[in-house]
Amino acid sequence: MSDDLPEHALRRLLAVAAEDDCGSDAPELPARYHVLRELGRGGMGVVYEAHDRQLDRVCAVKVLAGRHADDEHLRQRLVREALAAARLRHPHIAAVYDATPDYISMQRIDGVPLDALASCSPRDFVALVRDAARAVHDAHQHGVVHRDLKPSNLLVEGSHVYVVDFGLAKAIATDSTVSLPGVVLGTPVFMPPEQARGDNLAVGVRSDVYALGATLFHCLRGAPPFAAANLPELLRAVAEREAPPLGIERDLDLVVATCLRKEPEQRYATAAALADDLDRWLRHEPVAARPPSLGYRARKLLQRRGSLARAAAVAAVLAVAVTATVLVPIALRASAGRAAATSAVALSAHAAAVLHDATMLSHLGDVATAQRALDGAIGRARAFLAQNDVPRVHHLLSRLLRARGQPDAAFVELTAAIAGDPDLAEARFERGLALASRNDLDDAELAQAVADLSLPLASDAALTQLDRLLGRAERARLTGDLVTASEILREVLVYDPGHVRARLSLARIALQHGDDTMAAYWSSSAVDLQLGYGPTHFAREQGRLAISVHGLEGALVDFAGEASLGTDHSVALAQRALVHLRRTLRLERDGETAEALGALRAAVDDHDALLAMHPDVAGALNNRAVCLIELQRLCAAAGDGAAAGNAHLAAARDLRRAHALAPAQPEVWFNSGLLAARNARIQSAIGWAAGARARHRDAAAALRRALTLAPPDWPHRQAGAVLLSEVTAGDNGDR
Amino acid sequence: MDTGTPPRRSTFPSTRWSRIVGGTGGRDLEALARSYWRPIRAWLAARLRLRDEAADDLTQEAFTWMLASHFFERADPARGRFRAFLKTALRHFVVQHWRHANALRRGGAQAHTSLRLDDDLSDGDALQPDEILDAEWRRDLLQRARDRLAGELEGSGRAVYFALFRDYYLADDDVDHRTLAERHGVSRGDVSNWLDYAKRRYRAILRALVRDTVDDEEALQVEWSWLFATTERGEGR
Repeated sequence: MSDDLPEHALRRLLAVAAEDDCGSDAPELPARYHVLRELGRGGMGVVYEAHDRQLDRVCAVKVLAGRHADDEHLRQRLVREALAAARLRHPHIAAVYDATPDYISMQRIDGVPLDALASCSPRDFVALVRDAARAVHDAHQHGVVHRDLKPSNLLVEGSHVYVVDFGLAKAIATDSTVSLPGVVLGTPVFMPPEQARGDNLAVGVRSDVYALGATLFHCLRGAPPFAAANLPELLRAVAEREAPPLGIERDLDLVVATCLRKEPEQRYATAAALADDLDRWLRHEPVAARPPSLGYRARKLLQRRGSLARAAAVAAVLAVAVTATVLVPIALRASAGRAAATSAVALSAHAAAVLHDATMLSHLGDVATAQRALDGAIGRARAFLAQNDVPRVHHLLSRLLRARGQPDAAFVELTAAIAGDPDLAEARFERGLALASRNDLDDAELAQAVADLSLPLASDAALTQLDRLLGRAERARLTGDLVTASEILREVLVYDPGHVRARLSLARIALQHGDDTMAAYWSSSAVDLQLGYGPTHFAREQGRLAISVHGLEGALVDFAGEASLGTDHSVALAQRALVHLRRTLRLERDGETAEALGALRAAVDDHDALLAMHPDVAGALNNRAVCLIELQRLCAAAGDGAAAGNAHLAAARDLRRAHALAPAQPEVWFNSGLLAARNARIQSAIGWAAGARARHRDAAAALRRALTLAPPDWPHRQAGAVLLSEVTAGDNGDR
Repeated sequence: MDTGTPPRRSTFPSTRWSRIVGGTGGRDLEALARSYWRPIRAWLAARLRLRDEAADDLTQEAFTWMLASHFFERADPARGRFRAFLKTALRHFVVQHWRHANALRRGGAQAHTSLRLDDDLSDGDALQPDEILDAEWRRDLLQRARDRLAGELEGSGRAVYFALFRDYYLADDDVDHRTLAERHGVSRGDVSNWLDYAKRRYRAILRALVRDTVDDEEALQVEWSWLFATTERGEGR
């Protein structure tokens, strides 16, 4: 029964299955819209991607979700949203095209939410939020407050940000009854306290400023300013607790903190003022945001004293309890400690798995998935730390942040971990590595880095052997022992040619030596790898070898550099030999026979060096035979019979050894067939028919063997078949 | 588990994937994954540019690896849908596979080259493996639901229902209810009612199949919408 269904049948089955959906859930839209797919669901609406047949464009259409469709309040709000947003025309605001009480059609933005950007530096985030702030300011000027700004409402297309979904927009000018007092609307995590309190009348321009600040905080730190186990707690935290410092840079901290002030009047007065300050920060100018006034701080202090007094009262009650029964509080304390320990253990296991997965995924180029996983783990770790200050968890968080590409934030956590537990040798070792990667170390930091990197380490899966090697290399480099440092670093590269950090350190050493060329080589190769480490990188490197003359010569220089530096540079030698061989074929095609011969000899030389190190590598023997077969041909063409003969014998010798080492390798059989065919041609040319016939038969047998052994998609299958038909014909011709 | 052929479709376990994770769930999860043999094979073939036999072998190898590396045991349904989980698993597998191949090269087993050196690795703009997996996945689900519907209707004495469904929705030619009534010797009212019944059962079965690959109702909704995401205005009647 499980025969394959034709395409039209599949389409009909899909239509049958979809009927249900379209019957009840799908929007009642005018015929001009053809719904393509659902884009997403929010608290009250569903957004579809639809084709507007009339204007022949794709747009986003928002309608009320099934069970909300009859809610008059929501309908009213939807129309209001449309009317408000339709007034806005700004390059950073998704345009509203058309609106009725049933639906709104808007510009379709094919972007990703701000917090899902694959690779974004703090400066990039700041620039995007600045653009969004300008757009929000424009909306404010038109009397529209967004009221639901959050990363998922800032969509980034390329490097252009769009503010979308003025879903809770309230016309400032209109005294709206749509927003009911005491009803919390919006996304609590990014909400200002006045909104969290449900004080809708107090919600205004500065509420959006707060949300922009919270959004920036979330993007920069990987977690929102406040996290809590449940909604009531979260709302309380938003209303009462101070946001933790961002810990990136003082001025940026100030800007974000100014957005996140509890009292609206302490925040920026307008979104434009925020945008201006972000601009100043981007231009490295002093920001306008200032630490809070004395009066403000005094008020805060008083409030805090109030809570201290409350805490003291609680402690007093506890003390009474202790005198009543000693056992209960101790048991309580113990169980709380145990719970925290259990959750720390669970967190560690989770974080380790995430780190592992993220590394894998990044290697494959799937950075977005990796970062999502990391963000989840980072959020968990931060939530844990908000409740328990455990140095090891700070350490864990630093590893997650480093993997997330936030070295500065990682360093902050590392420092916290070490402050909490100076005996965390691994954390200190990582701090040493982090310090060593900086270019501007002062004497104290240098001494600190060397001391950190000299610590004995326990076994720790997250610190690989390569990290340890790297630590030794960096210590050597920092103490001026450049020879040892570069030796160890090259050792690292033998194990992992894609080790970016090792390449960067080698670049630093080259700079210290004044060798600009090698410094450029090491650093640019590091950049290359960072952009696309993994199979793609190596495929690209292979591809690069083949493409252009310029590319060829460039590759040659690269590998020459690498081959002369490595301790065991067999990989580089093999690669360079390949380059020489490809170059030979190209030079010969261009008629530059003498150069071709030179290149070919260089290829043979590299194989000699390679085989001197690893004498029993069938592949290398086979490849040298390939070079020798070509050498024989070129020498014969150049009239150098003796050299041709020697090359021939050497090729036959290599192939025999290769056969012995790898009897089932089709390439070796292919090349044996090729060599025998060449031999037959020579013998035929000198009139030795019987010899030629025998060689032809050898060639045919070897080629048949190759074709039998090779996989169906063997790249040389066609060439092998052609050659086989040639030698079979040759065999017949010899008779 | 060592057969290189796709498993019979009837091996599909009707358990939600989040419930079969952990404990001895690895095997069951593998069985569930194996029922998606074809999409998995298509993904690998696209990702590594493989031909038929090589793709079969590697698919087999992927399952072996996922079992051996306890990948199924480590699955966390809370982190996504089964389809996404499989893609992640496959990506991991490819990394391992690539690492292994690379390690062999680095360890001295040089890549074998032949004389023809024109096999440049040019990256064309072929379909993305994920898209191919998605397309195959969708096709597989629809077909599997059809097979189950047939089994269910025929097993419950409603073979005619399925015959109507097949003739009306799956045949090459367009037929109307009247023709169907004549063909199967039933009334036009029966055609209409029975077709409706078969249709509703088809939807329910398909939904159950999709539900097996997700964790909760919200994810089900997402996955269900995804199923129709690329539907063009087909020939649905």
